[in-house]
Amino acid sequence: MATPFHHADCILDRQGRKTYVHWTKTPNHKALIFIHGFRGHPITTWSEFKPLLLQDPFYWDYDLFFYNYDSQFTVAQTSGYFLEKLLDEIYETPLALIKESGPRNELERRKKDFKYQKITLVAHSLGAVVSREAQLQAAKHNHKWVELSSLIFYAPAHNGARDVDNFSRLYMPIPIFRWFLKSKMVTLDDLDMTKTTCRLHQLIKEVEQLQVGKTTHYSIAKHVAAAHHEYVVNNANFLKDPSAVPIPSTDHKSVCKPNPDFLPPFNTLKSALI
Amino acid sequence: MNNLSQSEYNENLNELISRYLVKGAAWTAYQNIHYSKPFRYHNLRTRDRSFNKRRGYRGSNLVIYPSRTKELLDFYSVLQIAYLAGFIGHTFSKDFTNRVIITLNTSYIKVHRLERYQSLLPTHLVTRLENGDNTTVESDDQSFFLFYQFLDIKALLEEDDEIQYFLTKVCNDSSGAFELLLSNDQVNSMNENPYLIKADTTAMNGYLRYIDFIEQFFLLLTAARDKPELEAAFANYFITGFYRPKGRLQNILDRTVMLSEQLRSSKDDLLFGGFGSIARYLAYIDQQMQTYTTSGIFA
Repeated sequence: MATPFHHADCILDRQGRKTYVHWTKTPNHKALIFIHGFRGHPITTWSEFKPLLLQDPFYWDYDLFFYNYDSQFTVAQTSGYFLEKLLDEIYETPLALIKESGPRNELERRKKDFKYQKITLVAHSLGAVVSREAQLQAAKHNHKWVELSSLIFYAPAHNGARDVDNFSRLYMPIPIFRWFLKSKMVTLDDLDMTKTTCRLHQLIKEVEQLQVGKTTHYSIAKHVAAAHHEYVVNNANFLKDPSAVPIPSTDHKSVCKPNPDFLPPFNTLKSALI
Repeated sequence: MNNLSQSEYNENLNELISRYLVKGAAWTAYQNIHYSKPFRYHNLRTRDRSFNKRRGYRGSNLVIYPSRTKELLDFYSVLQIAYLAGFIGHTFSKDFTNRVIITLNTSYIKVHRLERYQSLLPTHLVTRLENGDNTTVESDDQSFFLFYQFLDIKALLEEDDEIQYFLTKVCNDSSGAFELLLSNDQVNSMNENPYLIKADTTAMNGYLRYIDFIEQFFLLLTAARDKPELEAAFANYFITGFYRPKGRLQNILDRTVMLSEQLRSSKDDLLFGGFGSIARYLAYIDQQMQTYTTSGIFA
């Protein structure tokens, strides 16, 4: 029987979006940041991932963050900017975040100079692009958290969408909604590499330049998981990232949704962290 | 099977109190019951002539602030579910037990609990405490897993701004424009679909997010098949999210069932897809709850 290792979820409100945090009761300077994809949500994207994490003793000393951002009407570069701001707060003033979001006894438990030594970004689909944007911003501003960070991706969209129409159809199933909302969804443009103005072209160049440096290992993903039946994003290799490892019997949406009867997405994360 | 220690139970209870009681509308309602002083009340009444309009706070059957009362009852529902999941123990401290009983028996809370609040969970909680029921629920990993999942879905439904916008604005829109939009879902023209002229993205996103909630709720109920008491409790808690007597939610959801072919490739997974209509689904939940009320742990 797993004794709860974490506090009940706490809320950090940033840009009008609620990020859910489970502060661990036994901190060991490690944070896992989950970043959803296009039209995702910190609860629905990961679905039963969170209850599984909360029960697994492996994660007993991790603080768990489920980041929330506007993945439809805000370009990925801007979302990356806001994510970077939050990550900077997480690194520089973690106790202020605890004070802001909740558990009083947790504030007393942690030393005044508490800092993270390991920050892992776990991202799905568009979240991978946002994570990379955040790392680029942090590297540009010499923010320290970036050197402690690592990346783990589920069906990343950093090589663009295979078919942007398919992408919007998957997440916007009712035709009239798609028709009405699509014109406003600027993030779809971020993933359409057939357009020369697509930000991804520039992003790839910037990450490539970053990887020339010796201490920029953080920009190389530790693990890339691909969907077995991927029909949304392009699974090609991304610069120095390891080749994507498919998770059997998954599609683009289910690749990051484990459940007690289907643990491969969950085990993927654990083995990547080990 | 391995139950938690009393100190772990207490710690979990404190977590739930700080997360769901000591904040917002629930806390305001709670404070009005336990911390309002009678003399202050009389002073206010003599000073402020309009104060008697707010008598729903104390003594009257009139409930002026139903949302506050609802949130308070939601907290007690969570406590009952936490007990069923073995997340908290069957007994509380004497002081806390007394406060639960006083709160839930305060006249206007009781009226709301018995007549308006659809869930039976707070009533089960107060009955259990009044009767001094010492039944310990044996917990296991699955119960905890389900309880965490339940809290997540609760947060999705109650804290997502887009869902709240959809539920409060669109479902109570007397013109029924949103239903019209769904009825004309293939018409891709401003002129032909009148709702589009005043449609807003928040409402549309809220609707789609609400469908996500239904899917998550379905997953929860499916996962709880082996724990029928918990399954019934979850269904009973969220039933409040489906009942909107004066609103248009049921019509909108019925229309959604008809649209389910376009909604998801996994169309069969829609919670009430197999029931044909939301009304039939609600009847099923009622029946399920009745079963456990008369024969199971709720009795």
